[in-house]
Amino acid sequence: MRNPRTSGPADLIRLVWYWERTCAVCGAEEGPLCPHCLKEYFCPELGRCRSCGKLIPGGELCRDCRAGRGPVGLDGCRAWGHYAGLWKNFIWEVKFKAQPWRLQEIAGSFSAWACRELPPADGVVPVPLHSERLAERGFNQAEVIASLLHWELGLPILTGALIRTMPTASQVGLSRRERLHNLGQAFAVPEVAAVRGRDLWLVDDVTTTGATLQACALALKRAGARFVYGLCLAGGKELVQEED
Amino acid sequence: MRFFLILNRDGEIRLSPFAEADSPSEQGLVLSQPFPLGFLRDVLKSLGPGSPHGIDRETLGRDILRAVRAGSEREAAAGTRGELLPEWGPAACPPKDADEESYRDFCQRVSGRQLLGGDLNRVAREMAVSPEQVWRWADRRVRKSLAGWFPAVSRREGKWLCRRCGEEAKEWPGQYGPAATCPECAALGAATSLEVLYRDYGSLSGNAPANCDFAPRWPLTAAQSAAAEEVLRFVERDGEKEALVWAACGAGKTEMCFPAVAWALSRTIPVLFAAPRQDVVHDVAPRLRRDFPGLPVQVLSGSVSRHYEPGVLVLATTHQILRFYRAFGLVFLDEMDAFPYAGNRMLAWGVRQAMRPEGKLLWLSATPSRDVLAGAKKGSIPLIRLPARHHGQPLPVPHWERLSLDGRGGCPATLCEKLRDLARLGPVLVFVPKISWVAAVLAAIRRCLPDLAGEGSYSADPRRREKIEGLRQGRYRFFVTTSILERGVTLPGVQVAVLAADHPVFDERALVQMAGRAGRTKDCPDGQVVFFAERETACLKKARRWIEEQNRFAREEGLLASPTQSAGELNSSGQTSASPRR
Repeated sequence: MRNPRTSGPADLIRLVWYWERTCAVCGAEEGPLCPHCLKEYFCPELGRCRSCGKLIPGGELCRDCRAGRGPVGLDGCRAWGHYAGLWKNFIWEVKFKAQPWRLQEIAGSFSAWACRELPPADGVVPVPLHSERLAERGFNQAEVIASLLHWELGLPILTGALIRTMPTASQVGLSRRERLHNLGQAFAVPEVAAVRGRDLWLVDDVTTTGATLQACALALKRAGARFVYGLCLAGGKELVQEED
Repeated sequence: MRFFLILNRDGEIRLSPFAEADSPSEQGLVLSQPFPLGFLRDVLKSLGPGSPHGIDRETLGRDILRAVRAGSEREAAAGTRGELLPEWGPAACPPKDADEESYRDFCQRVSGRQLLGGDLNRVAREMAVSPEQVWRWADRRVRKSLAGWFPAVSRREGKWLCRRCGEEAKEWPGQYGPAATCPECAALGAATSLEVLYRDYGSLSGNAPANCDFAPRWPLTAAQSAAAEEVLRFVERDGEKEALVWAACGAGKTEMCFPAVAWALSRTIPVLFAAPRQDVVHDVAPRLRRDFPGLPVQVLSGSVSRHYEPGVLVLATTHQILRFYRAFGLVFLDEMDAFPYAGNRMLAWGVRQAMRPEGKLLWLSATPSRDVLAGAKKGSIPLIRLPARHHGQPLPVPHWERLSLDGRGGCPATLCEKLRDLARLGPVLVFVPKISWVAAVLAAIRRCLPDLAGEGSYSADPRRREKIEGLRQGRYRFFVTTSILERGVTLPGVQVAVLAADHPVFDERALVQMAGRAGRTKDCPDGQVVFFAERETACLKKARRWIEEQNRFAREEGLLASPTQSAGELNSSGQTSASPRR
């Protein structure tokens, strides 16, 4: 995988840039992410469930995935931070208060983390929004995240590789079964040649049950994608690892 | 919404949200992949005027495809964009649109508007039709040149500018190269460079009823009649585009504008009555409905559920005006010096953008902003004065009492005694400069004057409405508040005390407005206004001078009643009201 971040002058500029920044999440301390927020929300000591991306204290799978309630179709999944507190607020403001430019503040850190966590890919596929929802919101936050990965890592964005064919009700407050039913056949791949035989990073802002990622991954796999890895800014956190 | 690039048989290029030819007989080619409108426009611009296309469709098609490919790759950092490149295919046939009546209804609802995609979807919800149908109707109007599609944010002179509000947008790395979102007008829905703004060139006049019935319930006073005549003359004559109506607090400037509204409506000129605050808009609506029976009055604020009704008379907050484009021939802008309009470049732009090029604008205020007042004094803007209240009594002139407050809202005993004296005359509005003072002052007054019922409120108070209603019903003898009650409140017999009147938050305009709460009703035409402050600042002096000057002017014009004359006598005497013109 080609990585333009390794160039010397670019690293220097980035260093100066980040040096002057406050923390993107709390705004109070040195940035782009202060040690407190890194520990509080990004929990470097925790692992990630390889099936649904959730932050877990140990092992490879979370409780739900071990019980067979995890998403299918994904070959791996990673959520960067815990969807809570100020980090949740940050994502909420980006999405609902129309502040996509703020994502640039975490672009470098997120890209570097994603590189470490996931196998290399041939391209990035953002989870699409239906045109009605896109018109309401003005932009697709998943596309902005995919663009950041593209700019930071040089990964191609597979524009239009995955489309949303029908509007679906908001997923907020729904159970996993309801979410899966809600999403049904909502996604399609219009040009199978674009994804056939490819390894892809499937990008979204938040994953909770993994239902959206599953629906997208299944559509991509049906079209011939080789490996599909989910990648999100935030996800749930499992506090205690129970005995099997 | 993404747009398709369509190449019609005659070589004409069209951008549309639907991959369809102009008519079933037309055979066109369409690029298989839709793109943001702004991106496609940039691509077409990059073809350059000197491209040797002529009518050679094949060459033109090749050039466009090459430009799209280059365009989608030009910003890529590594040059490895997606390899899914668009292909040409035959344009589909447009579906037959049978429901002409609904289309006409749509046209009436969107005339004179500029709407983002989210707004168009809301039009669909209000009309109970599918969003796709509304987008098709909108595109139909664009094809007839009755409307236009524009990128909501586009780059001009090296800056990203929002087409809706005129403010600078913030850039971020987008899927098609740099993109930008406007942070200023985001409360009305996000405007981004990837989304479109639909601008409808239709006139609101099409919504005007055949006859406009103007039936004022109350006769105007002499002062109102004189000012109304001047307003009418300004509206009728060619020439000046703007005028300032400088009215005393509580002088009835709204009703005074109604004859000019009637004149405009009788000529099917669309009229906008705008104010920065929604409570003012909702207060004026029933008065307009009362005097213009049968005329649909469209009220637009953040708290109404239906935003897209046909109407030639619109009442709106200054934020909602941003959804209009060259729509109004006559605009009344009330309380120009109030938050959030005062000093807000975006809202000022919105007002200008909502006016037709030949439209007229009247600023209405008791405390005009510095620049407009300076223009009026210089003579570049006509000034229309309404210096007297309907009861013909002068405005209560504030007086200053030296008093030192501790800066935390503590209340010395001397102040409590003075408040007790005021409370003997009527309920007392106690203004404080900070929210944090409300509870402290309220507690101190309750301690010193336990026999008097009191309450307090501020903007974020969840019980604000309920408490103000109690105040209106006369439940309290004193009411501690911030500037939230400085405008738009009429309470019979109220007395005014401003604590820490020398605090920087109180400028001369705020002080005049607070003083203007006293003596507004016919039954209690006078009242006491006391500014408690350690120093008599320039703002205090200026506020007093403004009020004295209004009284002097009213007296010179013969608009004040003599001490023995009552308001009723003034109305029926020789200087009384003239009936408003129809």
